[in-house]
Amino acid sequence: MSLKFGVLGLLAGGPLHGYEVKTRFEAMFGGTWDVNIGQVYTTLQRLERDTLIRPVGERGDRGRQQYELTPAGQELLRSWISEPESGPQQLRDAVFLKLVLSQRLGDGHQGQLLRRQRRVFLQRLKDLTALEQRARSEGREDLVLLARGGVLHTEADLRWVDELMAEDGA
Amino acid sequence: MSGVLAKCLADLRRHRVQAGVVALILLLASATGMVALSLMSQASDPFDQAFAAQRGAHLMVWFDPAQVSTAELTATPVEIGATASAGPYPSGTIVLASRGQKYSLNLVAQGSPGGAVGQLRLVAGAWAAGSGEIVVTRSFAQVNGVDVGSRLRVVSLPSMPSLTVSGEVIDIDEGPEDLTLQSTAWVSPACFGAVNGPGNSSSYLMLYRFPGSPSQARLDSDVTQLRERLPAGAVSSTTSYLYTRSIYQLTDGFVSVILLAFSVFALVVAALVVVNVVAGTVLASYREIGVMRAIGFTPRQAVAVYVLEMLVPALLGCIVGIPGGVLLSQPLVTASVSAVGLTPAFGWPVGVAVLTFAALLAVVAIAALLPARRAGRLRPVEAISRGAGAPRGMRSRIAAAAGWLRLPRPVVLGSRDAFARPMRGIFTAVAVVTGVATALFAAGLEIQLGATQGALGGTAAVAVTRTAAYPDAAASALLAGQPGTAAVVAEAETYVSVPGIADPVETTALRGASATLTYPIISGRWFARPGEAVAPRAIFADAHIGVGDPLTIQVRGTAVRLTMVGEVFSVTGLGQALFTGWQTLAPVDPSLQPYTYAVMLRPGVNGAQWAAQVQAAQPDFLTASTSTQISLDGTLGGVGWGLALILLVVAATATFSAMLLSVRERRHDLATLKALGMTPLQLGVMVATAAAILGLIGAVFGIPAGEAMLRAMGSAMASQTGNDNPPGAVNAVAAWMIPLFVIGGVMVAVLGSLLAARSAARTSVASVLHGE
Amino acid sequence: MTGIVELTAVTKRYSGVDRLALAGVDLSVADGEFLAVMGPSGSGKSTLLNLIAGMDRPNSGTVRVDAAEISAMTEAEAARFRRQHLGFIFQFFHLLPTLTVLENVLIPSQLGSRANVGASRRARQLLDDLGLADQARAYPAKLSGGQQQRVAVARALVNEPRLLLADEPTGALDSESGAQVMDLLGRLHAAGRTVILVTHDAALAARHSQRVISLRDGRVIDDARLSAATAPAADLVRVGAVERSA
Repeated sequence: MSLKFGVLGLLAGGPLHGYEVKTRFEAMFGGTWDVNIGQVYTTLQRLERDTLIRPVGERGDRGRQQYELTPAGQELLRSWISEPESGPQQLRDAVFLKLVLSQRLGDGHQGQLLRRQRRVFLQRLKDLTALEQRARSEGREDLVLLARGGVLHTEADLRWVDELMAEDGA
Repeated sequence: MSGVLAKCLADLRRHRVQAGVVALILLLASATGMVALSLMSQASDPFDQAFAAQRGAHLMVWFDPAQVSTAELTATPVEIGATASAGPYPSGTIVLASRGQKYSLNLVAQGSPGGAVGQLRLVAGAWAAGSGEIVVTRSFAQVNGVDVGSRLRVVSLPSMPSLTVSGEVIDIDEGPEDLTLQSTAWVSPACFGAVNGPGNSSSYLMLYRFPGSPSQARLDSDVTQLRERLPAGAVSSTTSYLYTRSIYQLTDGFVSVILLAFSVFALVVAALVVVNVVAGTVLASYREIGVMRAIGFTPRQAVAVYVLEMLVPALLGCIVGIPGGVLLSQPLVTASVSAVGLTPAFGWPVGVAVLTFAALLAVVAIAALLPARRAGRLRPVEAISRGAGAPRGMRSRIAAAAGWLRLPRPVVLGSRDAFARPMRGIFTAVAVVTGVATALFAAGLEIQLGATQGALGGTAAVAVTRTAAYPDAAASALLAGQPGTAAVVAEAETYVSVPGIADPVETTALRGASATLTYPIISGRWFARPGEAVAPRAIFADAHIGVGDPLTIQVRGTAVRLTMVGEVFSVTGLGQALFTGWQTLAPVDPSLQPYTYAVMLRPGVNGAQWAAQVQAAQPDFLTASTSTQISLDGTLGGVGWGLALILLVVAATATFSAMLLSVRERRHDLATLKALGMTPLQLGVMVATAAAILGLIGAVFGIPAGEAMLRAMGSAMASQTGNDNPPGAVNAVAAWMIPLFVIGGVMVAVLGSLLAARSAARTSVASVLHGE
Repeated sequence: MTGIVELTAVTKRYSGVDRLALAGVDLSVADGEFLAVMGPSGSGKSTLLNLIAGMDRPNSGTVRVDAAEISAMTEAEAARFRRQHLGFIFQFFHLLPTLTVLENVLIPSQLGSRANVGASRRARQLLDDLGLADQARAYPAKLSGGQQQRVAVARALVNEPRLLLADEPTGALDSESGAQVMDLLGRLHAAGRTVILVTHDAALAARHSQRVISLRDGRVIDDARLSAATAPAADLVRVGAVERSA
């Protein structure tokens, strides 16, 4: 997912300069997405080039320069928000790759691998549910949602591993 | 509709025990009903058939030869409109002895067994041809172990001649041997004079036959005509076929009444049980009905499932029970049939069977229909939640009391359970009510029969009979002189005429301390002075008098005024009998002679030994026996017990099934308690407590129900015999016995519940609690 | 060192079924442990719990609870043992409908032959702690699912057992009530009890337990020990990735 629409979305709330964009972006994701300031400036440049944003006031120091949404930018943002995401599913390809490779390499440790992977997932579940609890008690609704998403995805991963184990005859 | 059948069959497979219970109960009820009905439908038929076949005599009249000649007698049939007649036959009495036993018989002189009336069917040997030969009846021969060729001594004559039995016949005018009506024996006319004794007192016997089946009234008027046309005193005594037939039917009457009562009772019990089981099943299946409705069974289809579930086992039960009942009734039918000389013909009473079948199935269907309809109509959700076993948590007082008394928790829980589901509790209690009432009825019946039997005839310790060859004075002296004798009462029998009663009434004149004889007194008192008399209810009813009223009887043409001071129990003459003192009749009837002596013995004296002494002192002319006169055992003994047993099985089954359902409904809670740590013993105590409480309630109501049935039965039986209930029979079940029945009822309920709980406990906790 | 629960080579077959419900299970549960037993339906997890509680007997092998061989006890002995040493919580609560809430809680304490001192006080305290003091005289039918399950928990605790067995305790509850009940179990564990939880829900299993065993087809296929949850959010979830194209 690119920064583009995140930046547009942030600017929809009012003009911001680059550093503000970065900090607010990270806060929105609860600290789970570190963003490089350079990336931010690059994205701002591109958006300005595409006439989706414009600088506010005089062009000054890059770090201090504020930007705002153009009507075109608003329009694009609105249409993007209202469209569902239908891109391809992102899978845990690392696990799959490891399994296939260990099969190919014929070292017979698939069962072992899967069990250890399983434990990772279980631990993650433990940690995520704890996170969810903490977030709830602190009133951090955004983190709660994030944690829930993580839990559900991890459950799915765990089920997948279970099936792989069954196939493997572990 | 195949869905309905599929569900029905699946349920039957699964609930085999319950289906089995229904089948068993219907089997028993239908069998009992069929026994009664087939007996009743055949009761009089064998007699009527044999009577017609043997051209039995509608009227038998004995004439005094001193007053009338044979010529006059042969003219009588035309005079009274008889279509056929036989006789005049010389007739007298004879006492025969064989192997230490003595038999008193009527003696008739006939040249051949045939005749226009009263044909005797020769079944063995040949007719008595010459002197020294005698023909006896087959029933006499069978009962007394006499065969063709046996030699019998005539002990009614001092010379004691011997006779050989030349043949056996069946005499339709006789009657069942075990009722000790006097049997008849025949000799050829040539040797009649030689063997008739004593003192050549003989009569002429005429047999008359009329068109159709004359009524008692018709026969009475015929007898009146005879008396009028012939010289005074010509007619000695008469008997009609109706009397014989009713004697024949006496035992059958008893049996029929009993059987009818039993079958009505059994049917009521069966209906109650069926209703109980069915309604109980539906109650336990509310949830399932809800689920069925939810899947798409229409109310009608849901109802159909349950009705079918009940009908199928009921059908099976009837299919076995009805033929079974017919087969069971055959021995009884055979006994009565062969007594009149017919070979028992096995006929299936098809019409009755079909009717019984249809009636029973109708009862089952209705019993199933009513509760099922209610359940079927509920909305699925209602039914499911209703059946989820969440009853109103009732605070019952008994449970509160139990808790307050600090009884163990299982007991408290059990007592609460008893009332938690009211409908279930009612059904269980009702089952126990029927069970206890049935047990009471069965036991009381046995006692009642026993009391009736005991009340039949006076019960002296020993009865001694003498033959005419041995004088009264000698006999009295001998008996009085025996060591061990406390009192001797002589009994003489004669016939008198009572106003309002057509037939001559058998009257017994008692000489001696007759009040010590134990004839059961129903009201009033025994006679004390000359001129007083007592009689069974039939006399009072037929003569339209009450206890204490006067009654004028005719003895040999002389009027005698009696005061009827008491009512007694006696089946003699179907209740038409009189008992009075020697002084009342002897002056009027000089020929009165006692032939029977009732002997009371001193305390501690053994009756059999005393009888043996007397027998040794006078082996030929006296017979001493310790048995009572009339026994109903022949047909009744086994029947009574058998039917009682059947009913008890029915009642026990009913109680068991109620317990089964009750426990099944609670299996959820029982499993939970088990999981929580209730030991099997505690579970048993809990279940038993609930059962005991309901059992107690049921037993308490069952007692009066059973007693009411007994009273009804007693009245029916008594009215058959022209008597009121003998005292021993009315309060058949003594007060001290009642707690036994209560305890018994409670025990059966508890036992049933424990058995059911055991099987419920076997299903593992897991399958009940996790199988939701 | 022997644990509070010891299973040795336990097999269980149900009559009429070919497959083994449990096929040779060895398990040792330490005192004070929170163990979750996971597996798809039919894997044998409920069977395992029933055997531990002595409500069923294994075909072979032994089950020891608190050093007592519960698999060899008679029904009566097992029942007594059960009410003194175990608390059982079911998926469908299984409260006795004819008893009030308080009476339901008291039942295990009243089945013993000796009067159970302090049971009444404990029961009331438990109801109080669980927020059910107002419902003490009510009948179960009037309570919500969550409330009923809490009553069941109170009932399981009235005899102060060291071992708690819970079979899908949240299965019949809405998520909020379920969370409440799970929190309760967590607190009970924190207070020193051993808890064995059977569930098919992985998140539920991982949440409070320190050890998760997984059953499949009657066998233990995994025995995972988990460490306490400490990781910060960023170590757990990463949203998005830098895209290569705009």
